[in-house]
Amino acid sequence: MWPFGKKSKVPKLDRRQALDARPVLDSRVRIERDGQTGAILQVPRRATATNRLVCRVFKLSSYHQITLDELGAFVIELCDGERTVRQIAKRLAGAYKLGRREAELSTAKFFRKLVRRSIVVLIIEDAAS
Amino acid sequence: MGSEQSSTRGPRYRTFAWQGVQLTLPTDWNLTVTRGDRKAGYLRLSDEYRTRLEVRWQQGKRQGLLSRTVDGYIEKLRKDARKEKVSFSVQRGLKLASPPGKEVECYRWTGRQQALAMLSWCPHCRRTTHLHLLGEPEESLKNLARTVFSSFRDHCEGADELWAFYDMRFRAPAGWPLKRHSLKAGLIRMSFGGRGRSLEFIRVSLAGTLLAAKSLAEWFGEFYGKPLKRKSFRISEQTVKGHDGLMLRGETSLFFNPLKVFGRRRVLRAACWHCEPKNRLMICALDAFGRQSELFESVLAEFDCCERSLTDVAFREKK
Repeated sequence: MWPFGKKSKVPKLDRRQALDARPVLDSRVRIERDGQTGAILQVPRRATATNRLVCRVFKLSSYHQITLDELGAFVIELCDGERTVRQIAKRLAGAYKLGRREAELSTAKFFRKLVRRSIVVLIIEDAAS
Repeated sequence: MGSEQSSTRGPRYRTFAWQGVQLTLPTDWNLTVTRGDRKAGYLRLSDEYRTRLEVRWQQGKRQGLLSRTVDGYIEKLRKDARKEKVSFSVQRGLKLASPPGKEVECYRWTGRQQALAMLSWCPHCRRTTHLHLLGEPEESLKNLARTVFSSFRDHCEGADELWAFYDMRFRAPAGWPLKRHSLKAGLIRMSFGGRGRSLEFIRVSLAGTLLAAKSLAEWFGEFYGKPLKRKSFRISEQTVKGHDGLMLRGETSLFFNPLKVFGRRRVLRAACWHCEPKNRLMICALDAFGRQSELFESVLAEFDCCERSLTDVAFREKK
């Protein structure tokens, strides 16, 4: 691990690549409806030694919960690996009467957060293929 | 709403206006970057896939002939192309547009991408503006460039200045500079004014979600609570621009505005309405001394949210 090893390279995406990426929900993440319009995501904790110890000592679940609002739930349910971020943004814009750019920005920001938390994986098709 | 169908088949156009720069652009081009102020600034507009238009302006003394400015700019581009080992070609003296009362030079350069550009100098507002319409090297841009460049205006003619971007369109008094702006997804806030006066135009998206658990008055109280502090005000529910809305009139209390004793009253006037067809909440607020607060009606009348607001204005004018 950096600084003792090589720093892992995070691929940088341009706008077109980011919008054409296909988000897929991590198979270990479970979605639960919260009875209203939102949803609850059950996300597995990272399997590190510290996490395992903390969970055992404090009798915590190996999953933690993330509560999503109505829009978050709407977007997450469209992450099937088939639809692109652009298509999801379009659906969001249509359903909530948002402008195209408004929808694209908010969807991209939401996915950035989900990717950082390893809830969603983005499938990026190579431009050469 | 400021958009019109072009006569031939092709893109739909609408008016774009920012800091006095006014252009007719395809409807799917959106503002993506904005920097600077009235004196000097930069704008970038993009469509769904790429940057389509860049605008740079600078106000002040004219710096030599336009052709020399173009020479310098092209030389810089040529150097960059040489570094990147890309072929570069230039075509000067194109006749793409001749906006009235302006000196212009139009040219085309092709490198990694293609650009049709227009450099303009306006002796009236002393503004030098450089427009770059960008596209792929093999793309045909000439007709589009003609439409865009010939619609170019760099100063307002009347007492009000038009601002039109995204789906927002309003007029601010010409002497009131843009003080602050926030262009977030879901919230657009434009504040004009200066010492002792302020005019705000606000657009909030997802109105249905925001008003699901509270009334418009409750939401307005929470959202616009800060400017209402230290003020005594009266809110009335009424139809605003054809929609359910609120009208507010308030005054700063005597303790915070002692000049009130001498008749210098600071008045806050605001309107907030729920535009159902667009699912948006709109706020127009003017906080100013005495007579300036009378501008409110005219400013509000020019703040459009949807077609219904336009018919409401037309109806009022007929009456």
